[in-house]
Amino acid sequence: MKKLIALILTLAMVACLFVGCSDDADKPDETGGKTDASFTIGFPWDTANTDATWISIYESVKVAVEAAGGELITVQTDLTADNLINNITELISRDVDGILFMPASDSMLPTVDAMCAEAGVYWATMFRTISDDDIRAQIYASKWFAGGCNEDDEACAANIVKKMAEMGVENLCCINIAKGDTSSDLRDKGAAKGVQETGINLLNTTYGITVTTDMTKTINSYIAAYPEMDGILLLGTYCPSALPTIEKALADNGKAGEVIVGRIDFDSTMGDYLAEGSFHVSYGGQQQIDPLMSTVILVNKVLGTPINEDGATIIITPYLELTSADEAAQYTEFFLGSTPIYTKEEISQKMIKKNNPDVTVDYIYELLDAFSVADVVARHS
Amino acid sequence: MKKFLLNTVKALMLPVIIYCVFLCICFDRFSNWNCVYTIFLQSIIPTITAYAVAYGNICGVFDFTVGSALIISGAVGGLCAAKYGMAGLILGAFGAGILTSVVTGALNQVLKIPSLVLTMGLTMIYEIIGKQLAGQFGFVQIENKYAVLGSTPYIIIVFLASALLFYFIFNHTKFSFHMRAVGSNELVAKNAGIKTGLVKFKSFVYGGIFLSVAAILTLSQSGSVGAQTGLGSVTIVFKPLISILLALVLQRICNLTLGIFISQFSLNIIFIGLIAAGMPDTFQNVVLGLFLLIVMIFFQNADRFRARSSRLKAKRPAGARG
Repeated sequence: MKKLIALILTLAMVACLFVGCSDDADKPDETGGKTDASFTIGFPWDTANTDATWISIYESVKVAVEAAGGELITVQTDLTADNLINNITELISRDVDGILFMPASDSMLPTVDAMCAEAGVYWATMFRTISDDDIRAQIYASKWFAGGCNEDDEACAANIVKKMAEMGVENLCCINIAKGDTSSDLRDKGAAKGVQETGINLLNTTYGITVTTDMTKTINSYIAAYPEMDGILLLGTYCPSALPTIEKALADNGKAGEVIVGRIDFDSTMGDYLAEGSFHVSYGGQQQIDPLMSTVILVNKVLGTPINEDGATIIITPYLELTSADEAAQYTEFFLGSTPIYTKEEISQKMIKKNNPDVTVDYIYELLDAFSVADVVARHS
Repeated sequence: MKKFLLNTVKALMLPVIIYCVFLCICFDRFSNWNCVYTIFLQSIIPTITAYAVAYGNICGVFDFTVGSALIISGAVGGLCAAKYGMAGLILGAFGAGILTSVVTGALNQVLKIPSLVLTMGLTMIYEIIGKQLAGQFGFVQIENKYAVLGSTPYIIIVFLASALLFYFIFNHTKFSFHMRAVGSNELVAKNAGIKTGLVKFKSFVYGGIFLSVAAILTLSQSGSVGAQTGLGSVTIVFKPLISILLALVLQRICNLTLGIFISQFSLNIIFIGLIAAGMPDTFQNVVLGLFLLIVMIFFQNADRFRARSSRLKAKRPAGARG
């Protein structure tokens, strides 16, 4: 009897094996099976994250790859440097033609470049610049580095501090992503610059908050320790529901509307608070355009028609400013909705060099100059 | 009674001393009742979360699922609040919190694998369930009218009720004695006829009650509960766990129920104190770690210090004593 059960189980396992290797497995899916796509792009991303912004980043990359006739292969990552290097190793072993990722640090890049050079795979980065001069020189000289987009985080942070100072802030508390992250450090630097230029007081900065309880605790602590605080700036955070939590803590302490609140990176909850007058300014919008343009840079390189013939293509994507509830509602609908900020057809016709030979760095900057919430609304409404 | 009062005063000296240190560092920012009141209010939710972890910890069970179960409980509570109001919030949170604890406890009893491994695996699964419940935007938000339990005086009433319940279960039930016996030596407890598996199961379930209360208060205080992935929910358990370790050390001079609160209160004084002193965030972690080590070293080695001091006194020549 036992032998019979063992035989049945073995047969079942073999049957599963055949099912796994059947034609259905070749259907394009999130993890990527082989299709008739002309090339494949590997993308390590936190696909388990259901945050609307994170999903929109994935969708922006996917639409750009597909617009160029390629296929996107994703691997789950926690976005730490060690894990990203493992992810890239995995993607190379899966024979991708290009890899796009968000670097966790400068120091990981030479390793990535060496791996990609050995495998003959092009790679590109999104959201992050390279701060270290030596590493930047080495990477920009690599023929396998296609380029990437980043934002001027420092200028953005300085500008939002200045904007909040114009709104009347004199004593500011900040919240930021954990130190060591390239963007976080630059935003810190920018905030310090803004503080220096405006003469306001930076009372404290708290880093690396990831859960709502810690966010509530921090805001309550700020209120208790700094009664003079009249501004809170969210320079960056990975805490879900960060803004509603801050607003709730302020409301519980009778400070909603009294304390000026600003943040870098748009989110889906800003509209209500802007309408109530308890949230005041946000700089963002780069979360969708940056990955889309970074992908465009990579796919053009993979297709043999690089945007910049002379080396890596580096694009600085702009931050948009958002100060009204209407704009926030439009942002939620048109940036985080089901249609990406540029459709497959728009990307294919405008940004893929083999379809449009006019694509150059200057041409991309012209597109970016015209890019705004109103522009996306006009094209897709 | 006199000894009890004396010991309680001794235990209370811990936050008082820490407060005085910060009072010296930044008198202007720290010398107001609002600061003390904020520290007190901020200590409530971590204390109740620590109550949820404590039973298992005393039984010798590592439970990493508390954070993720708290998220599930809060998310279900929030979703039910949208449909059934306040009753939905409470019943939904309790239902989900206790159900997840029962599942964890039952699996721990049935599978017979180390709780560390089991709860680590379950945390990842619960986090994904929490993510799905949290929906498109990754968090569940409630209307302000359902968030009353997060504000005073209700949060204080809920806290006192939770502390009383924890005290009663920990001191006046058969389970509490069995729990300590299992925690001290499981094999001996088993030979003594205690159903160790059942005791551990109960520690999860009783912990589930406090976990649900903590979830309701978190949801009410923050107005929302956000999902976590990649073991991010373990962060929720980390600081309450420190307070349990401190409270276990303080247990010689005060009851665990009060000890956990005193420890959490002390940790929060450090947190706000460092913010008020304008210290960077990284420094806070260093100080918290140092504080934990100093208290543990001091209390764990108190007997050795005393014995050494007695030996030194005895060795001194009579003339030296005057």
